[in-house]
Amino acid sequence: MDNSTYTEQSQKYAELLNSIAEKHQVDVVLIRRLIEFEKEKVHLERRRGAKDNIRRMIEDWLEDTES
Amino acid sequence: MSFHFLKLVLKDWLVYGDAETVEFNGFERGQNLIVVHGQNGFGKTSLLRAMQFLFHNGLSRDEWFGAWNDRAKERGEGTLEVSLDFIHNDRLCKLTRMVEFKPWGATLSIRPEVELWIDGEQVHGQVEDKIAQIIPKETQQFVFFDGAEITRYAHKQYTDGVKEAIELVLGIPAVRNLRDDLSKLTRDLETEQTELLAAQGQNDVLLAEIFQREGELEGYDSRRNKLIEKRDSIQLTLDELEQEASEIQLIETERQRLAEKRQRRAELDERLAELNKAISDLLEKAPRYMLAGKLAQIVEERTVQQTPPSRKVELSHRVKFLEDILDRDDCICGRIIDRDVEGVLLAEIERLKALMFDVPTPESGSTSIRELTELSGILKDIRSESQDGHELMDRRATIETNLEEIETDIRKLMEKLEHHSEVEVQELFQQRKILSQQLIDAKADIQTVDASIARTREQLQDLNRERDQLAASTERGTQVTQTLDVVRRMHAAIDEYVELMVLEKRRDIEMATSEIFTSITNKPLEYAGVHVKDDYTLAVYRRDETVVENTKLSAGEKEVLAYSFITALNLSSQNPAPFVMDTPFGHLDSGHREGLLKSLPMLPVQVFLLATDRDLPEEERDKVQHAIAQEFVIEREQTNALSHIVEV
Repeated sequence: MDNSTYTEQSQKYAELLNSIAEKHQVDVVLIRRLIEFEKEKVHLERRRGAKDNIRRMIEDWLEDTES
Repeated sequence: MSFHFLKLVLKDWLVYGDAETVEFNGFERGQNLIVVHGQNGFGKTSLLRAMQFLFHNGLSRDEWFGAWNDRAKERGEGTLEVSLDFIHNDRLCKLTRMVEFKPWGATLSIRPEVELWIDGEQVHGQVEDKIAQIIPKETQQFVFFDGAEITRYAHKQYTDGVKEAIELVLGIPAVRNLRDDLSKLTRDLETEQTELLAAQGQNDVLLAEIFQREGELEGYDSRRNKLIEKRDSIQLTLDELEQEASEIQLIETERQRLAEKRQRRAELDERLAELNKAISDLLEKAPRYMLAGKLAQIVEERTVQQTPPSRKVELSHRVKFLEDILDRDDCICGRIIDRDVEGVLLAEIERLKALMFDVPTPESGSTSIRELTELSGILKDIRSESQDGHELMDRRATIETNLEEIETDIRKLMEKLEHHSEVEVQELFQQRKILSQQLIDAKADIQTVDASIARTREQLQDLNRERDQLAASTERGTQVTQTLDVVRRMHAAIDEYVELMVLEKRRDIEMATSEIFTSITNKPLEYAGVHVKDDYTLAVYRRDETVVENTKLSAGEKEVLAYSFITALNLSSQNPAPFVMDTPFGHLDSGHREGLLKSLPMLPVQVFLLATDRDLPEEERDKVQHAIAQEFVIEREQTNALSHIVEV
């Protein structure tokens, strides 16, 4: 019963996300980045501009991928 | 990643006066307990409230004034301040919250301020947001808690916001928000595509069809939501009815029991009546029974004196027989009766007569055979009808006791049953039948709508593919379409991930809570673990899989259950915060206390125990001595009504 609980669990969720990302042919790094972005906003009552920021992040990733 | 407290400074906060500083030695695994001893009213809860104020504020104007130390108030102006130095995500942070009080005419102006420093640099702008990132407001209840309130996490239902707070600790809302944002972004991008195509002046038919399908889908979704609402409402009512029905079933069983009890009572009444009659008869005939012994003695004596009458009669018959032969010339065997034969016969007759004389004849006044026979008969009757009086009394007493018990049972059953009439029962079962059918219908309707939704989605997908192809004919269109493609796939991925994640998180919490609970409980052979339900409420279950009703748990057991859950929750978070537990052992017996104390050193965080001597008696404290990093005691300066924290 210690923080290895969190570590083990994190590993499990990371693997889960990896497999789902692969299944849907999406970049897992991008998904993680988006999740971290949402985590920073989660405590806010109004998440102004969140959707637009997400769009920008995806478009930037597309640009980087193409280049 | 680390999160631990380094230094706390209190200034004119509640019972603490000017600049009360408490320094902590940092954090080390296995030696993470910081004990603050204090008697009632000395200032333990003031420390807890200082933490809550610091990370969330949450006080009204009046409450700020109320938190200002009384001695300081007398000065008329000043500042209350709570400040904490701590490590968070390996960064050195300092959080200070203060409230300035200044005379303003006839009143007092009250000005709150907050400062946050991270690695020596002050944070400007969105300070409260940054603080909320460290310990979100909703999750504070899981790290700073009063032992007296902790049991609310072991209740059957949570108050509003607790479920959301739990999911926040588990990191679920962020992923849900991403799913929602991607869903909105998908719609935005599709709208943009449509506008681009419309601007090209072509594809009206396609766009119209897409519009129609989207409208249909919206309609189906709306209908589906309503049907789900209806289904859930019916289900809720049905669940309540089922609960009532199961109680009714119980009632029916009780009714049957009542009928059986009444029948049994009637049987016992009958037997009692028989016994009473038997006892009454016994008492009437008591004199006979009392004489039976004497009568038996008489019969025995007289029987000895009597020869069976058949012996004399037999002898006289033989004498007569021989005398008849003497009167004849020849014997019955054919021999002539000569002098010799006559002599033998006469001698035999004499002998037989002598025998007859030897048989005692009944004396005058003695019992005749007839009388003896009568007496024997009477004695036989008495013996056959006599009963053991004690045995009858015992049996009667037993029956009377049984009757008393049955009367009590009948009375209780009648009290139980008086509120449930037959008519009500019939109505309830009828209603249940109707609702069950309505539920089946609602589920069928949902299935139908789901099929329609699936079909329409498929059609829409085909149309969208067509639209994507057409939109990609321009540069802008290509860009939007590409982004849309990624967003759609991301949305599908996150949608799937959220569902699985929520399920897995709940299972993980359940496992961790069970592990902690079973290690602390004082019934390890009885309790097997804890179920965490969909709404994160808790249920203890036994080894035979039966669930223990929350109402049946003692206050101490609820405390242990709640503590187990909160700890499991904390362990599941990315950067667990230090625990501050105010008098956490209020309801716990020594067994539970020992189990809980043993578990504390295993946590990967500082644990601040604000304890009275009752919470942490000497002998128990000694058992966790090895895990205690620091100890403090709150001393009270009673003359000035001020408290001080002193390291021991």
